[in-house]
Amino acid sequence: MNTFLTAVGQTPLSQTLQTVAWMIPFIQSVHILALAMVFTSAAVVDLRILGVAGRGQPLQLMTARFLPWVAWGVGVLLATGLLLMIAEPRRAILNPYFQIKMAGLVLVGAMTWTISAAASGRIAPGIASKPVAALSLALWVVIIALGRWIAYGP
Amino acid sequence: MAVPAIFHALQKSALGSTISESTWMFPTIETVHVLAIATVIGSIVVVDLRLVGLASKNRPVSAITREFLPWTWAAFGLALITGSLLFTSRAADYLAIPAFLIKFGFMALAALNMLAFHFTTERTMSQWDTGQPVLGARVAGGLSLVLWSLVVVCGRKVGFSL
Repeated sequence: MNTFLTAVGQTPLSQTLQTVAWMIPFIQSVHILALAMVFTSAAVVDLRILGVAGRGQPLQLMTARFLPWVAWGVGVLLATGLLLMIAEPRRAILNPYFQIKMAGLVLVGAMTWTISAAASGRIAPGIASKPVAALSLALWVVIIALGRWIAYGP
Repeated sequence: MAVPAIFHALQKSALGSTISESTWMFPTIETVHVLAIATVIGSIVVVDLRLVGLASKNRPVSAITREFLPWTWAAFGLALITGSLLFTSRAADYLAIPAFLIKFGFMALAALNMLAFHFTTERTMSQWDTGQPVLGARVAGGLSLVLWSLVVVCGRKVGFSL
């Protein structure tokens, strides 16, 4: 693993990312803009299920409007996140905050898919319940927090 | 340009030094700041994309602003409080960073854009609320998207400048 990470850090792409000063802040900015879209879109759907916002609109309309932004946004987050990992492989892969963040992402991804399927009637609608929405929203907050804490990791 | 002495005093104050000397306070406040700006930017983008005519086209603009802008303002308040606390920890150092000052320049432009929209295009909103947005709305939404993106870029650059 260590040999692999060292090798990744020596690739031309990694070296370019490390040496051109504006690249990392720029990629991180795109990452933040994408996470703003993902977090807000996911929160809109979760808050609708929780009955806090958008009560006048059918859940299926809300998921159709907002969950594609979550899917595309997560795509941008994975792409920019991968570039940040290539720039500093050890900082991310060996970092416990990063590892927990990725586990959380897999979990919230599965939950979001479940909410989407329940809203469109592919699975029992009752599955898009308040506890699921509350847990999903909490997971997004934890994922974003862990992302920021990678910089302060052990 | 020399940073006024008051900001050096702020940085050395009990609050400023407590935040900068603690191992967990700065990252924790920073995390809340990130969550707040994610909500600010995300909700503004929803409104802007409607103003530009790219999303939520079957919902009236007035419904979108009524649903989203209260969240924008609440989150903006939180971003302001957490941002002020972060600033206090290194007040004089931040003021010496060009990206920090430019960030507030872009925020001022975003505010002017919002005010211009509020006092001109928004007055006629009842005429285009449910249909295609007028040119003034498209321009305001487009400018807002660009300006807030630049605020984020500058904000992130600040973290690399200390």
